[in-house]
Amino acid sequence: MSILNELGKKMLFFDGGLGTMLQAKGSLPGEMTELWNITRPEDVCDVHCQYLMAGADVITANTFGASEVKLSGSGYTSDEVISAGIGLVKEAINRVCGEGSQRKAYAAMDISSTGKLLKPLGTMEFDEAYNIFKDMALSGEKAGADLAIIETMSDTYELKAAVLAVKENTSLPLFVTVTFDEKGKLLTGADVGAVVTLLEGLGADVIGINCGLGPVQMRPLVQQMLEMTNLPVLVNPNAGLPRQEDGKTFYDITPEQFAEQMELMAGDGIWLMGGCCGTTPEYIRLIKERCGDIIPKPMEKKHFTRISSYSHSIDFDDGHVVIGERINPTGKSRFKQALRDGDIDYILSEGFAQEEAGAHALDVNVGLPEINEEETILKVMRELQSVIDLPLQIDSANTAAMEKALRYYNGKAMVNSVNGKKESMEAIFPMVKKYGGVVVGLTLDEDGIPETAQGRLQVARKIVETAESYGISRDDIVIDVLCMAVSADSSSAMVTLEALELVKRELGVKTSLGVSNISFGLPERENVNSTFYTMALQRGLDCAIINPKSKAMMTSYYSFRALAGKDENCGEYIEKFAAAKDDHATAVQPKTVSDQEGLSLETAVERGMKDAAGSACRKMIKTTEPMAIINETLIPVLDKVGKGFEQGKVFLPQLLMSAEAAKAAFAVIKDELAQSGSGTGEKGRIVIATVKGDVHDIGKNIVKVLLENYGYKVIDLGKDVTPEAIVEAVQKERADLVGLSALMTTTVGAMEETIDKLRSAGLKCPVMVGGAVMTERYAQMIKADRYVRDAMASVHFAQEVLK
Amino acid sequence: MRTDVIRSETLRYLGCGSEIPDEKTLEMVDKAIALLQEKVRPKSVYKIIEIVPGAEGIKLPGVYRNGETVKFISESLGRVMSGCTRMIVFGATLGAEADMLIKRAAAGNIAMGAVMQAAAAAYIEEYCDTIQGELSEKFRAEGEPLGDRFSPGYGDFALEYQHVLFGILDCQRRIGLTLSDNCIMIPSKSVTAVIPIGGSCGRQLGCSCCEKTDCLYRRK
Repeated sequence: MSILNELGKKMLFFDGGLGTMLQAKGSLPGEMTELWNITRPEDVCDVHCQYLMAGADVITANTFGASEVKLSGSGYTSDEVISAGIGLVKEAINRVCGEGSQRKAYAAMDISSTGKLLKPLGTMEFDEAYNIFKDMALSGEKAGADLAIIETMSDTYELKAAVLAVKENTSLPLFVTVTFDEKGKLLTGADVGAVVTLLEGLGADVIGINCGLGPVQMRPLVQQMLEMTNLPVLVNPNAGLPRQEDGKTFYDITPEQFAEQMELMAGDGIWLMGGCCGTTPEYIRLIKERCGDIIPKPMEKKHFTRISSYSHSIDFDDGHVVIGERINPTGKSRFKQALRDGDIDYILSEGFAQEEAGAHALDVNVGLPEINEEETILKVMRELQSVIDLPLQIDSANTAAMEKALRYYNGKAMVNSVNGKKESMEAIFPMVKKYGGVVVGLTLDEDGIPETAQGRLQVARKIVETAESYGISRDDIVIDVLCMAVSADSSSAMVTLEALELVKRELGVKTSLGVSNISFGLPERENVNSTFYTMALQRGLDCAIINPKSKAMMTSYYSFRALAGKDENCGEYIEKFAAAKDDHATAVQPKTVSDQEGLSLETAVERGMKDAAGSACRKMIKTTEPMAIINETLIPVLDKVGKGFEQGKVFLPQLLMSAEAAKAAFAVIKDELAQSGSGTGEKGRIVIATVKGDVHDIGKNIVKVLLENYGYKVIDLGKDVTPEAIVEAVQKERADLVGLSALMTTTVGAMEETIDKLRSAGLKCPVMVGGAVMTERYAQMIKADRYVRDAMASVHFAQEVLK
Repeated sequence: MRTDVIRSETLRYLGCGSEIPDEKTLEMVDKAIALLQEKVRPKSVYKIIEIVPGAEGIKLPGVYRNGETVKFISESLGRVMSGCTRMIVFGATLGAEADMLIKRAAAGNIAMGAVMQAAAAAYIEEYCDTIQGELSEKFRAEGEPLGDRFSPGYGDFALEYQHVLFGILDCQRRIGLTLSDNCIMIPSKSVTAVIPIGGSCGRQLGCSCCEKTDCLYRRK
């Protein structure tokens, strides 16, 4: 019988701390106790037996860290350790609940973190983690585990890799528990909502919390989880908070206090319980005694539409989700140029601006015929997710790109979009089922867009019912009834609004609109868009894809919420517009304006004034050739500031402020060049990277900004870049110069290897090296062409090489 | 934690040690520190370990790695620990948020990125000093003063020993600090160290024990 059949029928009990018990049997700090499965099997089996006798229904095998990475150098393979570990649980179950016993107990394959952080924070690839977990899961199932528990996870991305590995490669019931700190967050920042949303989307069977906290601190988080989920909840707390005494760790809660707390949580609605660090068979015996007869609280089905990022979730019932539409090349020449150039900074800046303007989520569309969309969407998504914590809406007509994006997205994404065509639904729904997601359903099908509201309702119904046949709840569907240009058909807005209301009422789903289509073909489109937006909100629109940088649109948003009683004490409205008033007040002070506008480009750059530099350049470009601005204005003033820096008269932050101001001027020049289609104005191509194994990149990023300031095209490969990837980029980009950075003595080797590989590939371009540990002597040793001590030195070397 | 210390150390890391920086720099520094104070969740962990110091390094009789007890071969560490029978193994991190803040700041404005990076470095040091101060109090009360913290990478205490310190502290699980194959700590704003208990402590080694004599930040 599967453990899944027992859920909710009676309270189920996990065992307690295994490490705690093995420590009592003499394990030492730093020792891999998973090896005891082979070297001291009796001791491990004995602990399992003690927990069974205390009343545990599920015994967690001693396989917590039995991954190939952690066992490397131990002389044993992961498969050996896991097989032995599961074997010992089965042996214990046999001894305690064997023949003649009425008891049924389960062997859980235990999986925890690889101990490495995944990219973009760390160095491990998602796929690498996935493969490690896959091997573990396969070994566990083969050895006869009854279920898998992924526990003590503290990063949602690693968690996602582990869950996919178990789900895709085994048929084991999957229980997942994570570790929150006292602030209610995972180590990489996720809150309870982010964890629940991700795990429900991925299809875990049971979710919960373990380790990190004692039952008292854990309870509010458990309650939060219970409020948010439709899944059974498992709670395995520590025996209180740890304290050190004489080099030993003690926990501050007695078995009696522990049982008392667990009983309270059973009342809150948890269905499974056990213990983690510091808990012993006595703790389990007492919780069993106290809670064993409690009938699990029946679960009421909760309805919610929710998406998440790596840090938080957003709930559509909280109202009026704003999805920023600006990360999209359609009709934007500068954005297209950025995509072609791989100019991630530009794309990120669009993200920042929308976040600051109040977007709750960002639409991401990188579809451009001449680029590889699969690769690009992954790259853009990863970069966005390393600096912006808003959930993303993946927007692509390319199903392969969509699948990849959903797989590698850190969270539960919004999926844009599916429609009523058979082909579309067959492609999209299986992905949504597998990875989780809230999918936007467009009311069009093989017959086009129905003209009437009833027609659109019918398509919406087809979408919702088909989704349900795939096992996707209608809570995860958001219907977009589509709006058509009112300039072409004066009834179109009314049809859309009618359809919107109808769909909400008849199908009980949430709704979305790409609002700006309505004004197509009209002048001053914002007037129409913002009014239509207000009208749609009034009819119950839940989510809009708009430009949050448009003041008119956000005015509609905040005003509507204030008027609709959704903004308590008009707090959000006041916060937004009280500040705007201040801006306005300063902006009209005549002195400031003339001050800012009167500034020459030179002065603006020298003083590091970004906005002033941008506007000065915009003015200048009307009368001066772009290249002349670069060569005759920007570079001389940068030289002047750079010289000041080298003489110790200008500090690093000031130098960089000037660089940022110059960058703002460059953005204007690039816009001009992109629009006129007259090249990019580049003076040479430089590939830069932080080498393999190293993750420090601020120095490299400083070098990049300065080099770009001097008109070089910089291809930034990022951090932790393999020698092979650098060689490939140098070949592909036909680079004139390579810059390598390393911060640690341990990664200088990777630098040397990179230079070797460049040379043996027959590439002769000069290589400059820098970074905290780098010295002239090191640079010579590894056969670099130049040691550059700081960012200005790299500019000088580039000037020397690329005369 | 002392905000004024974080502030002056941030400025020192930015190269404006003795000079008075411009207003804009000061503004950025204050903003960076405020953001760090709001967002980061610093965490620390420590353990007390028995040691046997010698001229060539120290032995850790209670610590196993791959089936053998561990030795740290390092003359400078041997000196630091001379006369001690126990040491504290210490780990601390500002967590992933600090790295995200730096990356975010740098992506928007590289000057702010550099400032955030410096401020985060100053912040973790001050955090360590605070925790270490509390530990010192505690041990002094028990009649055993603590010495200064000493980290892998100082003197001839090889970075590779990080693996052992991480094993002892269970850093990943306890405070979310991980170690890459190249002994790089991630999140980056983190510190691991050993601290001598008792013995002939009281020494202030600081910059003087470092061989990089042309360092920009060396304290006189």
